[in-house]
Formats: sequence, structure tokens, C-alpha cells
Amino acid sequence: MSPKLLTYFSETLFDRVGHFNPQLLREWQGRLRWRNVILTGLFSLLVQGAVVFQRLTQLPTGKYSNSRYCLRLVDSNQYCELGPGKMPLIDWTFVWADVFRDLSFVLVWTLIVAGVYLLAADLSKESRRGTINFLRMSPLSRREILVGKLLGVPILLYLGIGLLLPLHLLTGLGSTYPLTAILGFYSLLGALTFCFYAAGLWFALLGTGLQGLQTWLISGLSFGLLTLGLNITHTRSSADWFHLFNPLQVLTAWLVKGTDGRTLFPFDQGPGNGLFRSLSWLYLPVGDRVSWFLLFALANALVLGLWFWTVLERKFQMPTNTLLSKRQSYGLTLYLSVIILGFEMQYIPEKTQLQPTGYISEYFWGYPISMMIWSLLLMFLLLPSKQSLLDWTRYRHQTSRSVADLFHHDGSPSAFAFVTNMAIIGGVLLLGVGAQGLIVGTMHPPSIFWTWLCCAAALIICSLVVQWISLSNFLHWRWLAIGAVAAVIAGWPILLAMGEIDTYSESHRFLWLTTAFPQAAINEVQILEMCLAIAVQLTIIAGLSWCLNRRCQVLGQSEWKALLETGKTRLQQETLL
Amino acid sequence: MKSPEITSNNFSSDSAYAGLSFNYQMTSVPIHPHRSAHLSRTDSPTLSVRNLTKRFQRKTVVNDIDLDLFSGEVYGLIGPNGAGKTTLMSMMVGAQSPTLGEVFIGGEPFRQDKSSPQLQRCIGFLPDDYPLYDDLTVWQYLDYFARLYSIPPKLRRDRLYEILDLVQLSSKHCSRTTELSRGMKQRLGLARAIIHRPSVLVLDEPVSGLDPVARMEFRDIIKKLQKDGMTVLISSHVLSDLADFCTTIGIMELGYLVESAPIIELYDRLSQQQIFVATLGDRQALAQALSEHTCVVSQTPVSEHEICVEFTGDDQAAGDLLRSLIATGIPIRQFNHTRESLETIFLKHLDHKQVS
Repeated sequence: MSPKLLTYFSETLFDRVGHFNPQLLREWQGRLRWRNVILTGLFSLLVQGAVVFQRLTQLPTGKYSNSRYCLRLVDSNQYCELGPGKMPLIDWTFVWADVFRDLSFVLVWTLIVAGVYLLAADLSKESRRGTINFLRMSPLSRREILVGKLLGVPILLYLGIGLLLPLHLLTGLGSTYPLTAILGFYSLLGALTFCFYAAGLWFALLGTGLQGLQTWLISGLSFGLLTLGLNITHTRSSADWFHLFNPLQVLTAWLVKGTDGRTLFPFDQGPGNGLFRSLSWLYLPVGDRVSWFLLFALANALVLGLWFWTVLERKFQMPTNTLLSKRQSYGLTLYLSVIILGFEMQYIPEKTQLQPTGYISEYFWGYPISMMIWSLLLMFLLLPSKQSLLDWTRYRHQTSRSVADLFHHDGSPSAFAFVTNMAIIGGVLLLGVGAQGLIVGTMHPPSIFWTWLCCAAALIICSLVVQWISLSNFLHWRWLAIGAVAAVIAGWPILLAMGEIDTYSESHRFLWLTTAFPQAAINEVQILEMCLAIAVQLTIIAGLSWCLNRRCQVLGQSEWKALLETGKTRLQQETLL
Repeated sequence: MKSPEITSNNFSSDSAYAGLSFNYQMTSVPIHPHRSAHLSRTDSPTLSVRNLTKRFQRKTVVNDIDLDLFSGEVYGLIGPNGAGKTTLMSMMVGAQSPTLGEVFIGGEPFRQDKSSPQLQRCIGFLPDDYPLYDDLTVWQYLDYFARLYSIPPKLRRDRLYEILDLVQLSSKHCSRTTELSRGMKQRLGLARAIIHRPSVLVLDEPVSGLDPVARMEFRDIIKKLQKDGMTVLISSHVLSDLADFCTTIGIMELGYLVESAPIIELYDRLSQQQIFVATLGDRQALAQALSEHTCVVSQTPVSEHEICVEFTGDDQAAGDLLRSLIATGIPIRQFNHTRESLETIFLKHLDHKQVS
């Protein structure tokens, strides 16, 4: 094909792409240059060559080689059987299985971690330079723009991966993996890639104050989550959720059959080798079959991906918006509560195993901790900017429709939405406890629910403190807020421990219920102490709410009123003097 | 207040009001009657804002502004730094959301996150700080925006040639955007803003930092757009430029739109006129002849043969005065009819506000 014809074809292709999505064309134009394409192709081939070469060096070379790739071992499984020409007979199925395994690792980590990095870096750059504003003001929908980014920014990565796929597929088929399993792996990889990419783009828009550090942060988080997803052991708790975040899980349980009837787990190096087999969710044995696990993981990735995409679109269009809208937070909290609770309900306990008091907490221990982590994130995600809050307090009498604004208006204080989220988490827990009780056949006062109540009260206090700090005039108020939260969550229990207030001592053990970890004392305290702890927390909440309300009122005053009030105060002071 | 200085007939000021020295300068201002005649104010406005307000912290930077822009109008927005011009413009184009108030385009409410693409196509915007994509050529850059604004494929190529011709960048269409000079980048920005033929063009300080030649080229382009009937809202500190092509002027200060009127009305209302008369003969005779004229308010002798007259009439009355002086037989050497420039009007306005 002549260069002229090639140029003509590429221009026509570009033109068609531009007609479909102009943003995609713009990303391609900046990246798809001949030099870049050739270098990417060469690099991809080099990686494939290196992977294959590395396995070929492990092939047996003589009779005394004790290699896993020997077709048959003789003399008490010590030596390789030799074939014609005195060369060892090689079981190529195992060789291809290992190449397939290596390429799978390359595929997953490169596609997700490098792709997240590229996308986050690109959007952060556009955000810093201000070019993103022209995109926002263009009539192209935010969805088209973001799809253009998603498909266009990592185009060289897609190209490299695309060149790797034929070898990956061939080695997979050559090592007796069924096509359906490989296609299932690809589909889960695709869904998780979408989920990670949407999260990466969203994160890039959030951390504008991190000076580009957010790019490394989100890539590092993606890397950590992928590693955790493959290596975490089966705990029969909410931590099992991480299994769904690595597509290699689908392949780990697959047994490769060699030519001579021997078998091999190619993914046998980690503890996550087929562990999803014993996975249950809401007592449903989702790990029983690979296809069920695949569908479950796919649904999880798609739901989360679509959720990230929705919040991304909203944040992209209006950068002054909160990171998560109040309405979105309710849905996301409900989803997370249900999925986490589902992993806490993996097997039905025997009645004989049940302890006389607080037995249900034995089977939900991870739920309050997981939900506390989510709640800590939520209190920052829901926080309106100081300006939005000032505008809302100043003009709410003109624009606000009703009290319902407190639950869905972006500019209103986040406390009401936060409490609603806590209630959702508590409601789901109650349902879980009820269901557990019904299934087990006995009902017992669920101490786990009290645990969550106390924990939620501590979190609401944190949320009010954070809101109050956000209205202050401190330049680095975010760090101050993080410090305050850390003080309440970690500092207060440490202080109790240092003050030798034991959970078994009768005098002040109720104080442990005012911490974010009330489970430490929940089984020891009397009902009166529990009520006392809740009364203390409610008093603190009421006090903080009053302070916050007063602060909002002051900030919501018009400039004239504020000026007059200042003058009035001064006048009073002068009169007194 | 200092007395005004008289300058030459073709004076044009670049210094604007940067120093705020209140050293008013006068210049002859060519007023073209056609600049307001073609505006049909009976039509509904192309762009309106109602009660537009923006607060930053507790400071109101744009305060309850009402404004109507009509088809073919070139509206010059002037004001000192921090008056709220950029914020007002940003809200009008949807780059910032207002605290209160609404923007209407063709009578329909306009919000960046909720408006239809059709409505968004009605606006073109060139901000003062204008980033470009470094990795694209001029052609690719404009082609990208033409596609973003859904210009049909059949028209796109022609439109790109047309626009490159208009902004005089045809010879640079293969150059990377990083290779362009500041003036060229500004013209490329303008090309991007008008590539989709918006009905309203908003330009925020488009000539800041440009040399006189680049400024003149930019001014010529605006005039061409004005002839095509585009509504233009422009802010600039180079008031002589605005006086050259604006049909309406708005003065902003401390977030308020303190003055908004057609430029002719503004001159009639706020600009003092002076006539500088020089004779070869006797100054006393000249003063006598001038005092008989009703439009002459006061006279100030400048030298032995020269008098400066404060004048209240229109151009016709100035012509009548000259004819009557010639009829009396006084040898007239020079007769200059001048008005206070837009810059002087603005500075006086500012001074008045500060005094009050």
C-alpha cells in the first residue's frame, strides 16, 4: 500500500471518527502520530517476546532437567523422558498456560493502572490549564466529551494491548482454557476497566488542590486494589468484596490438563487460588459456579462504574458542585450497605455455636467498620463549598422551596443528608439482623444495632465539627478538619486507654460507647449506661447544631446588616466604657 | 478638578485611565450617526440579564444587574479593575453560575448545565486568559471546534477557509499553535469564538497586551463582524478603541452598572465640547464676535491670537458659528471643534463617584 493511499485512509478514518465524536478525534489527533504508533507496536511486541522468551528459557534441555514442562517424568519423577534425537519431551500445554498467565497479569495491571494514570493526568492537565472550560461551554454533551476522553486518551495503550490480545487468546486456547472462560475474563476486565477509569476521571476532578499528586494517588490506589483483589484470603466478611475487583479471579480456579493427564493451576502462586469458590452473598452461593461468580462480579463492576460515571458527569459539568450530590449519596450508601451486609451474611450459624449475649455481632463485625470508613469519606464528599453555603443561607428565603431543601439542595448544610445516610445504613443493618434472626430461628436483642447507633452518633459529631471548620476562615481548613476527625475517631479512644478507663471497670466504661468503636464495651455495659452514653452524645450533637445554625445565620446576613451589627456592638462597648 | 487640556485633532490615547491622574485630555471624536441608527430597539433583545448577582464570600462583586443587548449592537463594558466586568461576562456565557438572577438568550433562560445545545451555539466567548492546545495545528484546532459546534461536514471546510481569511491566519494554517505570536493567538481565539456564527459574541479584554498594529487588526475584524449584524459585548481598557466601534457603552463600578447608554447619548449628555479658534487679526474682535453667539458658554484666551470656547451646540451649530465668524471678516487661521473623549467621560464619572 502506498504512503499516499495510507494517508488517505487514515484521514478518512479520522474524519469519520470526528463525525461520530469530535472529542475522540481531538484526542487521536494529538496521539496517533506514526512515530508514536510504531513505538507502541514495537514495545508491545517486545513485551510479548520477553514473556515468551522468559518461559522458553525454563524448558528442559537434557535428561537430568527437572522441569514442570517435561511431558513425562521417569526414574521416580526425577528426570525428563527423552524423545527422538535425545531431546526431552515437552508438554507445551503447560508452557502456553504459563505464558497465558504472565500475559494476563500484564494485561490487567497495564490496562487498568496505566489507563487510570493517563486519563487522570490528562483531565488534571486540562483542568489546570483551563482548556476544560471551553469543553464545558461547547454544545457537545458531557457524556460525548467524557466518552471521547475515555476512548481517546489511552488510545496508544489500547493499541499496545490490542497487539497483545492475539497471543493471549492463542496461548489461552492452547492451554485448554475454554473460549467462554477467556471471553468471560475479557468481559469482566472490560467492565472493571470502565469502573476504574470512571473513578479515575472523577478523582482527577476532585483533587484540584493536590497539584497533580492525585494522578499518582489514584493510580496507586488502583494498583493496591487489584493486588488486594487477587491476594486477599477468604474471610467470610465484607473484606471478601475485594475479590470482585480483580478479573484474574475468574481464571484462578481453572485447572489446566496436560497431555499426559497431569494437571496444573497456573495461578497457583497467590493465596487467592480459586478461593472465590466458597464465596456467598446473602446466603446465595455465588462462588459455586464460575459463571455465577462472573455474573456477580460483572454486575458489581457495572453498577459501580455507572455510579462513578453519573457523579463524574455531574462534577464535570459544574465544578462548583459538591463532590457527590445528596440524592446520589443516598443511593450509593444503600448500594454499599446492601453489598457489604451481603458479604457479612455468608453462612448460617448453628444454634449451638451461638453465644448467649450479643451473638449476632459475631456475624456482622465487619459491617460497622466498613460503613464507618464510608461515612468518613461521605462527610467530606457531601460538604458544600463555603460559597454555596453562604449563598444558600443568604438567599434561601428567596430561592428555597421547603425544608426538603435540607435533604437535597447542594448548598444546604450536609448534616441532614449525613444523618439520613446513617439512618439508611442502620435500616439496612436492621433488615439484615431481622433476616438473620428469622433464618436462624431465634431473635435476640441485637447489640450490633446499638453498636451502630453509638458509632453513628460519633460520626455525626465528626460531621458537624467538619462543617463548622469548613465555615471558618482558616486557609488550610481541610487539614484541620482531617485532624479534628482523627482526634474524635482515634484520639478519643486512645485517651481513654491512656487514662486507664477499662471496658470492664464499672465506673466510666460507658465512655467507650461515645467513641467510634463502641463494640469494645457493648457487651459489658448495662442498659442505663447505654442510655447515658447516648444522652451525652445527643447533648453534644444538639450543642454543635446550635453553634452551626448560629454561624450560618451570621454568615447569611447581608453586608449592610453585618455592618450595622458591628457598629451597634462597638457603640454598646463604647457606652459601657 | 483640573481644567481640560486641548490636544491635537487626531489624538488617540493608549494610556487609558491607568494612572487615574484626572488630567483630562480632549480629542475630537468622530461620531457616526449610522452607529446607532441601525439598531432596532423595538425588537426583542438577543441577550438579556435580569437581577444578575454574584457574591464571593460576603462581597457582592456583581450587584443586581439588568441589561439588554440587541441584534447588531456593539456594547462596550468599561470600568476599573475589580469592577466586576469579567464576572458579569462569565455569568452571561455560563462559565460561572450566578448567585441570583437569570440570563436569557432570545427570551429563553440560559444555564450552562441545563440549556439546550441550540442555545449554547448562540454564544461565542473569548476570555482574557486564553489557553490553546499545544499539540494541534491552527487548522486542526479550528476544525476541532467546528466539529464541537456541529458545523456540517460540507460547510466546514469552506467555513474554516473563510474564518482563517477573516482573522488573517491563512498562511499559518499548518503551524502549531505554539508557534504563533501573541496577536496571532488572540486572533485564533477570536476565530474559535466565532467559528459557529454565534448571535452574541462576548470578548473579555481581547486587545490587552497587543501592540498597536495587532490592535488595529483586531479592531478591523470586530468592525467586520459588526457589519454582519453580530451582537458584540466587549470589555477593554483601551477606551479609544471602544469609542471607535461601540454603539453602546456601559460603565461598571463596584459591581454596579452605573451607566448604560448609546454612545451618542453619552457624548451628548456627558461630553463637553470645545472650539479652538485662532485668528491672524485682533483677538478682541474675535472675542466680541464669539460672545454674540448663543451656543458659546464661556471663552478662555489661550494666547495673543487664540481663544478656547466652551460650546453647547451640535455639529450644525458649530458650522453656523464658523460661517458667522467668516462673515464678520475676521481672518480665521484655525477652527477646531473637539469633544471630550470616552476616556475623559469615564474619568470624570469616576471622579464624580469618588467625590460623592
